Amino acid sequence: MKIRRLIIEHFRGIKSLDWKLPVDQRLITLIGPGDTGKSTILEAVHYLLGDRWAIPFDDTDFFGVDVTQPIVIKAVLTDLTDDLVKDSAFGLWLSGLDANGELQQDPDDGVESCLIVRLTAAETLDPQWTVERVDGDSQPMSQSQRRAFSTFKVDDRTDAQLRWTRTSALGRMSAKDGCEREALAAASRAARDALADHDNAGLMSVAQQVQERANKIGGGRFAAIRPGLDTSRSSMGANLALYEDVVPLTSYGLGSRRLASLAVQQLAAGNRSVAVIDEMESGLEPHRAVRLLKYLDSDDYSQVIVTTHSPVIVEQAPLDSLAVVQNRAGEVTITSLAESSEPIQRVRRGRPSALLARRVIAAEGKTEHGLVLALLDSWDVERSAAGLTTHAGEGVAVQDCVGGSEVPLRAAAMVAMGYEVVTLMDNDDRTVDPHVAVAEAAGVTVVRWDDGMNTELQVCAELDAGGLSKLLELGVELRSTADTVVADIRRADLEHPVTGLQVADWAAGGISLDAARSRIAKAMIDGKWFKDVDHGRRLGEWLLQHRQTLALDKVFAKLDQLKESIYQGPETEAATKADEAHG
Amino acid sequence: MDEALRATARQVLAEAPCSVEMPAGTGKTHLLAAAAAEAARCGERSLILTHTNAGVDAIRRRLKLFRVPTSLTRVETITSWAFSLARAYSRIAGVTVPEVPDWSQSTQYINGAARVAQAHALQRVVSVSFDYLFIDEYQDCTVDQHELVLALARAIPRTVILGDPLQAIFRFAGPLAQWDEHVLPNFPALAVTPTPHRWVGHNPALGQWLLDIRPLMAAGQQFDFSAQAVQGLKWVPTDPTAVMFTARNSGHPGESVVLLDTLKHLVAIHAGRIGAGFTVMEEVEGKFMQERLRTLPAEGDPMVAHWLAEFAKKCFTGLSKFDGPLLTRLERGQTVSHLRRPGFEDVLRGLDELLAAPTYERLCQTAEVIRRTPALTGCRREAWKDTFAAIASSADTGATPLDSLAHVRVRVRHGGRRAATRVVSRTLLVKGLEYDHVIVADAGRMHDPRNLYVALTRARKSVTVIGHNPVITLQDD
Repeated sequence: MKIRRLIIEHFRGIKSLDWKLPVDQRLITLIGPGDTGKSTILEAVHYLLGDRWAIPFDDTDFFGVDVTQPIVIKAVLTDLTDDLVKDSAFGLWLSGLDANGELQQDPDDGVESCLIVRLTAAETLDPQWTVERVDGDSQPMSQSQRRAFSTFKVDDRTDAQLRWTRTSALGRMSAKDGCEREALAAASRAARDALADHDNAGLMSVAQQVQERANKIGGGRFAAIRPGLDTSRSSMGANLALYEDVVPLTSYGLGSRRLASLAVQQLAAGNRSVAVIDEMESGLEPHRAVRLLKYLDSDDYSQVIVTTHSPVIVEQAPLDSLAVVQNRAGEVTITSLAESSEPIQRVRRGRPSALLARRVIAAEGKTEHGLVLALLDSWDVERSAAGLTTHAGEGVAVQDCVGGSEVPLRAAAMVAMGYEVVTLMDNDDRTVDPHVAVAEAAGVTVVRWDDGMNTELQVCAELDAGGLSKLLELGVELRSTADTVVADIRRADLEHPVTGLQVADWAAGGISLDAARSRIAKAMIDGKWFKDVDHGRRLGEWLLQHRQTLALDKVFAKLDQLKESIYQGPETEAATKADEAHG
Repeated sequence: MDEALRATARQVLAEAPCSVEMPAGTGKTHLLAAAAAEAARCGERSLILTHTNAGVDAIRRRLKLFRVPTSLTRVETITSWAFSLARAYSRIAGVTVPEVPDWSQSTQYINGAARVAQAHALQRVVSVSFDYLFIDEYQDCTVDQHELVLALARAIPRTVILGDPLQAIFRFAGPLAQWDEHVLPNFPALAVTPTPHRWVGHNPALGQWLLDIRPLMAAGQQFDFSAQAVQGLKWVPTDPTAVMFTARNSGHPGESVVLLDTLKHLVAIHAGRIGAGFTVMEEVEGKFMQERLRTLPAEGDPMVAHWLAEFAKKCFTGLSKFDGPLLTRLERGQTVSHLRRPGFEDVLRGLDELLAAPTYERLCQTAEVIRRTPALTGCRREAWKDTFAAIASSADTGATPLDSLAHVRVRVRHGGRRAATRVVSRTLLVKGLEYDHVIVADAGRMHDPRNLYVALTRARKSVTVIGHNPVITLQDD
């Protein structure tokens, strides 16, 4: 079974979403800024297609806590299993889905058969599941009918799946031959140690399957998974549970428990299910998370929808599987990266974490990247003291665009994906201008040094001799010795030698202040003083330190403009709060 | 289930697709249910279609007897199944289908459903839903229904057709599918040795004879009743009182008797003449009652008294006292209770009261007085009862008496008929029913081989054939 279209209205942080899912992509990795509703989307799928008997909706589940607007979760399903299309299930409730993804009343020849299913909760909070047709005809769906959707969710409440109970996946797998009752009876007679000698082929084979699947899924290292008597919840009586040798799986780390739980639920759901996994990397080291991702992509399951906050996953996931979720005051859009532009693909490779941000600062290069980091630290301190959000709270990430024309290209591409983008870029290459114009037209906030300037030139532009000497002190710190700095300056103009680092003395050698400024800028550039993030950061710190005492007005005019664009505030704060309620 | 039945049931399943021709009274429906039960034992699910609601009930009862889980069968009439398909996918069906079936549009539903069943999506639905398809009473399938069955059989290759071509006499909904032309090329014949179950404990020899004469029941054959020597079969030459005397003297008390003829008005005449508790079986839609109700005067119109008297004359024997003068007075709205009609004083008083207060409630009361009059014998008791049930119900609900009649007759459509013990009818109406004694009113008119065969096979104990000539030349109607 596959979800081909998902519509959500008035559910938690989502006012409306109409998502046409990619047809050929089984694994879908939802990424994007925090608090856009990624987890809500997974929860919606699970609520609609899981087999829960009831859902404890409350008023805060309604968008904006406005209970007059009903919660609607609706999906169009294709690739229906035999169980679903039986006459006793939904065989007489099929609709058609044409090649353009448009619904049709009847499943005529030449269009795909599909089911339109819907979960509605109005003011009474009573969830109503229905199957419906294009003409509005509808019929309630029972819990047992919904079980045929075999959709499951892997989340942190996984321990139940590691025990044999009436409702757990393990229980359902064993229910056919009743082997769990037999084992429990034997176990309760002979107690825990007797179970060590008890040989139950049915349970052992289930445990064995779980072990193999868990190891395959995420590089687990289980070697001796077996059923054991879980007496940890003695108030509820003994329970059969999965053990690794003598240690119950419920005592393992979160990641291992989630892997085992996924294995169990997959086995129970059969081969044509829909699985949703929130924060798939949760509890897993990066290499195990990547292993799990590869497994999910290679596995023959119908559809797996995951969310992730891990840059490693963003980087390693198949590009076609990635989809960016954006939320504008509840209007949610999901854009697949499958058709994305080259610049976006370069962003993913170079700086995957940018795709997890809400707002991105596209910095010219490493220097500007470091510079911005220093500024963010300082601004955060200021804002925290004033009770305002920090840049992390605003979902801001810095992206180093490796220079030149790449900055506006990436910036424009990210704006197209729904990100907010601010640049900090040089202004010394006229061939870049057309790209900048395009980026601005696309909605990028372009912060660019003054005409003809790059960072080094802009820093030097207004400094007097004393200021320039101060700057050279920073150079000595970064270049280790004064001699190296002097050598850098000499190299910048072999015809006008300098002897020391007191710029005031240079005038005697026929070097004007303007010449000194450009010469020092050239030395800084050629000597690569700031060409790594740490040194860029030092430059930023130096600027902040000397803002009050040196002539840096034009530099800070630009940086303040940057600051204003980064911290925008109230709209995003509200969204954050709405989603925190369901953290 | 006995071993022989189980073996036959398994053979049927193994041979599917196949058709099984089984004569009347040889346990066709029983075999169908047994086969579905055997399929269910292997977890396989069956779609079972037949023609009438009574047939559906009969099949369900037998499935229950065999303890077949209801989840493993779906039993429906062909038209209701067709309605479900056409209703669900009316665009593919190409017909407009209301929420509540309009059975006068059955053919539309059938044709639409055939188109639906041919669609790829529905072929899959049907194919994953069912392992076997059974159709009972296939001889009653129209060519249109046959098309639907073929479409279904494409999705359910293991299809079993059951029926008896010699009983094919339903013809109101279009041409019937022919066994040789339509059935056998698609569903090869599976021969099952028939056992005359129906006659066990009654007249086994008659049962065997009815099997033996099957080859002779074909157009062009001469069939000589005087040449048949079987216990229970009797030839009676026609004379003006032959039908009356034969009918009155048939059967011991408590045994059921049916007198069969071919035409509606002859049936009414026979019932009126015989008396003795014989009553006309009305067809399901009740045309006679419809006709009467169409002429029913509105409430408040004193003419209802005249209408009632006229209707009574058609439904009771012994009403010669409702003569010209009496009817003329009623037609003029004049009272009648001063007339001397011994034994009918209560009735005449009732008619006068009806003239004075011509309500439907009063009409029903007077009708009841007539029914209870000792001197009268009902010959159309079913019509009388249902007509006044319809009128009474229309007084309650505000629906027209005609619409109420349709509602009243649904009982017959769905619940089947209560077995009246002394009945006059046409062959068409008694298909599927059994009687101890059958009387054929005129062998000369009963020359259609299927009509004759159905008539003869209704009998458990005896058959009496009345006619001018014991030799009948069989020819199709």
